[in-house]
Amino acid sequence: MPQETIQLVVTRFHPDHDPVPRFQTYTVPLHEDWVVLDALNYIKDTQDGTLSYRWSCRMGICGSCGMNVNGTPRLTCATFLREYAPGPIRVEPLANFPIIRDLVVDITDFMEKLPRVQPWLVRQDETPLTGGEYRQTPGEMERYHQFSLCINCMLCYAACPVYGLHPEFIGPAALALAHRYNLDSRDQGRAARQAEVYSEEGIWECTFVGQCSVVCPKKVDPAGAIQQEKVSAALDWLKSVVWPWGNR
Amino acid sequence: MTVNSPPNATRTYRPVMSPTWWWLRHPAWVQFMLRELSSVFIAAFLALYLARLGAFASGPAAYAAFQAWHRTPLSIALHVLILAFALLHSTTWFLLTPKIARVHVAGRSMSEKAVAGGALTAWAIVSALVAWWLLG
Repeated sequence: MPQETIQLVVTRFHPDHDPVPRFQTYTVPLHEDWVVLDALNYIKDTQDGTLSYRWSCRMGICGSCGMNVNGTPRLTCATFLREYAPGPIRVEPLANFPIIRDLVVDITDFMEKLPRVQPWLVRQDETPLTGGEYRQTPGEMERYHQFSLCINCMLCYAACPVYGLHPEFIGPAALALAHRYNLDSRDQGRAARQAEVYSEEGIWECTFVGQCSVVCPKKVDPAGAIQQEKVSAALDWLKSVVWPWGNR
Repeated sequence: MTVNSPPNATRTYRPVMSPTWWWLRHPAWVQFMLRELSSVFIAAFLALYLARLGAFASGPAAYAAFQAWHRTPLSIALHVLILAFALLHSTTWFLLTPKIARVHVAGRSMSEKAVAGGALTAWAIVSALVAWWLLG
């Protein structure tokens, strides 16, 4: 007889009542087409209305429903219960972030770091609007396209032990976005980003664990982005030694 | 909490990672630590190689003693361990290559599998040639 239910062991934390987070176990139907987010919605609708978590689109676009599922950061809207049968499934808030309540984390740190790498097109010579758009070839777009698919879901930060141990690290998603703009043929801001991106808190903090790229639901590959920026930074340094008058 | 005190809405719980044993919490982190540790064994092999050169320079007696030590079970076990970590070091190195070096051919970027596969194949061929040259 097929298994009909599965247990979810869910982190609970109420800032007014709980000194530290605790776990609460719920039993939900094990439907073939149910994802972890469906199970959480079922719990909230029928068993415990106080359970708090974030979600929105249910289709892997909004990046709101990231949680640690059995210790690995996942989008819960794309994580099927059946993958974890017979269970139980441990559902925790994304690691490395302060917990506000239950499965909701505080991502203020990321929101403050993101603008530091200037993730937008920086121009030295601004062309007037009448000059038309800045054009690029499909080949030029392909160079950065992969790195532009980030949905800010924070799974990479939750997977990164460096960020957990050293919260000053700018982190995978922000650095991948900096790389995305550095690779853009329309951008002229690489030098302006250097102070942040090529700093100790930037790419040089990364030890290339690589889990950020493994858990990324959009295959952005932040680990690759950071290592490629390290190569660029090293080449800059080499050029400055071999050809010190090059930038004068 | 008294009735009049405001709810502590801004209090958060910040999880703390063990600075020493954090890597035991996830299998991928254990793999990472083994990968990093493999460098120590590569360095150990190079140190042994330097010791061999030192023994060679010291004369036939010193070199014979060094060779005799290499036949002990301890030395053989150490070299098997070094070989295992050297294979791990080399394999992970080549598997990570495509993340660092993006290879473009005819205006298109090659897939990670193609780059890593090419690098691993080249490594296997060169290793086989060196082994044939040394042992053949």
